[in-house]
Amino acid sequence: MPTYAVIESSGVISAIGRGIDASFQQIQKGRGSYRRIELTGLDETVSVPYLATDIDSSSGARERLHTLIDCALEEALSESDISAEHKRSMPVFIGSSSYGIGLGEELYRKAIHDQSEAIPLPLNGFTQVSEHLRRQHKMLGPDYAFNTACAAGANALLSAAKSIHLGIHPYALVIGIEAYNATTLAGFYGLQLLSKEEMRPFDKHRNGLVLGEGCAALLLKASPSPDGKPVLLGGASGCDTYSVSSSNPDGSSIAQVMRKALKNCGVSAEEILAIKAHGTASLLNDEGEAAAMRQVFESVPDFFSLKSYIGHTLGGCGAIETALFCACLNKEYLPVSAGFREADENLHLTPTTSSGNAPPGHYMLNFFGFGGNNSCLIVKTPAHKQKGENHA
Amino acid sequence: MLDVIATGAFHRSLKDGGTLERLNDELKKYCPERPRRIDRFTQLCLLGSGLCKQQLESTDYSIDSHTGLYIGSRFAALTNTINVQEQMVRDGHVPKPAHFINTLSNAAGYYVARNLGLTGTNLFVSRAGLSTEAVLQTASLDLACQKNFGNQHRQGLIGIVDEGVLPLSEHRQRLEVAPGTPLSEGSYWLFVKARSRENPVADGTLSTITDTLTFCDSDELKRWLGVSANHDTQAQYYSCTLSQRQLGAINPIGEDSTQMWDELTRSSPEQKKSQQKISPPTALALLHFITENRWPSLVSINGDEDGRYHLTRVIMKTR
Repeated sequence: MPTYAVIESSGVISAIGRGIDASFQQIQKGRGSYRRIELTGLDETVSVPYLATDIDSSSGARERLHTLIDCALEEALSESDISAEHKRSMPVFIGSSSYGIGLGEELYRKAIHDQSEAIPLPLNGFTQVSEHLRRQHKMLGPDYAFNTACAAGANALLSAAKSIHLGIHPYALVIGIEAYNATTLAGFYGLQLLSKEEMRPFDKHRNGLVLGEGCAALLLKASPSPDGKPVLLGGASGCDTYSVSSSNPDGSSIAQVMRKALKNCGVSAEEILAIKAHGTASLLNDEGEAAAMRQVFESVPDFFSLKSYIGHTLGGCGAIETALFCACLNKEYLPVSAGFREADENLHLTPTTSSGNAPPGHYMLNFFGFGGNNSCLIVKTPAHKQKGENHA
Repeated sequence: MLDVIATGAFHRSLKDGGTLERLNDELKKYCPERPRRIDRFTQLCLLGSGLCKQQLESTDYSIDSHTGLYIGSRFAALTNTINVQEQMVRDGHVPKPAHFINTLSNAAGYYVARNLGLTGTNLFVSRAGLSTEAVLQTASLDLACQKNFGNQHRQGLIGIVDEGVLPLSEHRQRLEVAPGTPLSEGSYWLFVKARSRENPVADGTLSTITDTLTFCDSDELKRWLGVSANHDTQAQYYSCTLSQRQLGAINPIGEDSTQMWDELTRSSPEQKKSQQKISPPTALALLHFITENRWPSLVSINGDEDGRYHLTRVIMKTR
């Protein structure tokens, strides 16, 4: 009998609010947004688009990181009946691009200001999230800090699903997190990858991305049946060595990982009802992803990007967008690809322009990152699910 | 279980006031298409994986495009990330694109994959000073689930890498160790094949990693050892974080069980007081055990600040 990795419960905080229900309500509005912030302390004026959470901007970096974790985790755990012992011992798979680098910036800046001995990056590795989970939440299972750029959260989910499928653990927790920090914003500014307005994935006039802040926690549970909840069937992860900063725009390597995900999960392309695209609104990424979808699917199913709603949450997006998409699937709701206005004839594809129905079945989720990391997940929603009965 | 087929290791002790050894000439041996604008962490990864590939060439196996790549490190490209922080926070400059891209921990994995022609799984994972354990657990999970490709066994290349970061006095503060604590850098690699019902032990196996486990507390560890390891009377025990007395309090160990531990300690007198600061700690012992081929089995047990224990067991040439 197969063991399913059921998405038992989840919690989320992002630019569109705190909590699964509040976030779903915002997605139903179908509109993206952006704000501009100025980075201080640089020798040039740097104004960047950004989608922060509602955490007080005066919060310190440590408090900010912990608030993000606590908000998502407490919602996920409150929706589950996991025992104290299982909570204590379950493995934690974390995906993030920046972990606590904002804390490193803050400590270094303060030391310079105080004219004390200033150590750049005074951090002991990527431990800031897992340490908080152990010390604040008494979660003592094995922790894994994945740092594979924008595919980190997706890779965390894949590894968590494997630990369930192998019968090693009855539960696994996945955390995807991206907290505000200047290094990431200034770095993307330097790369000239940021948009001047809201993100417009797959649009003819797309001109880059808006970064976002957020955190999601997904609790996976081993179950002999789907139990009325979305199931993470698995997927695939691959490495594209075309360029360290972009996938091959011909779509071949992305198509390869999408096909491998389908094969690994025993699902045919025809069974995929819709795709949550990575959709970063950058010229080459959307071009490569559209080409890949055309190569894999004879008739490309409905697809959309969630990034115009919440910004690109980088290493956290695997978990955050999976949690938000599952919230939509639990309501059998297919969202609008916010930010899209005009078709790009070079892509030969158009994302969803109106909301629709998302019936029970198979769905694909794409996540791609710098460093050649491409990941693809397959989620199945069960036919016997009671509409609105639960959320994950 | 992971059968170890080949290994590669590069290790250098670091000296205060010294410089890091230049790796460019050595890298030419292993990188036909030498990548430009790469940082030291990537250089170390290319060098270690190249050494492992070289040893693999004397076996019946080879690295194919589906070989999984798994890199574990406490800090990844720390020197480069420090430079970005200094440029931005101290000097007020926007990070340069190449420098920013190289702050990504998986940039090194990209260059290794490109150098070796890999297209499959490419993961970077960290768990502070216990990143060896984290990457072994990650690779075990992934390879146990990988579909077979043709008649090939499921196989992976595992790297445990930590770069030297100057000045050492500052880096000791990051590591929260005493002034003068000896530090090192290292790049340790294993080429492994996953064992399963369909994939029996691979010919040419040097050793087998049978267990990679994390326990919430010492009681859990004791229970596991009582059931699974105490019959192994010839096991060598090793820890980077515990003294022999501390480990003995958890699990009685005889004098014969610390030969390798004593040997490693003797070869580095300062290690006793600073074992976990040697980078990367467990990997050094693991590779020493495998390459020396003098003991039947190794049980490495490391504790962390939150009361957990991380265990790795390796058996030589098991059948």
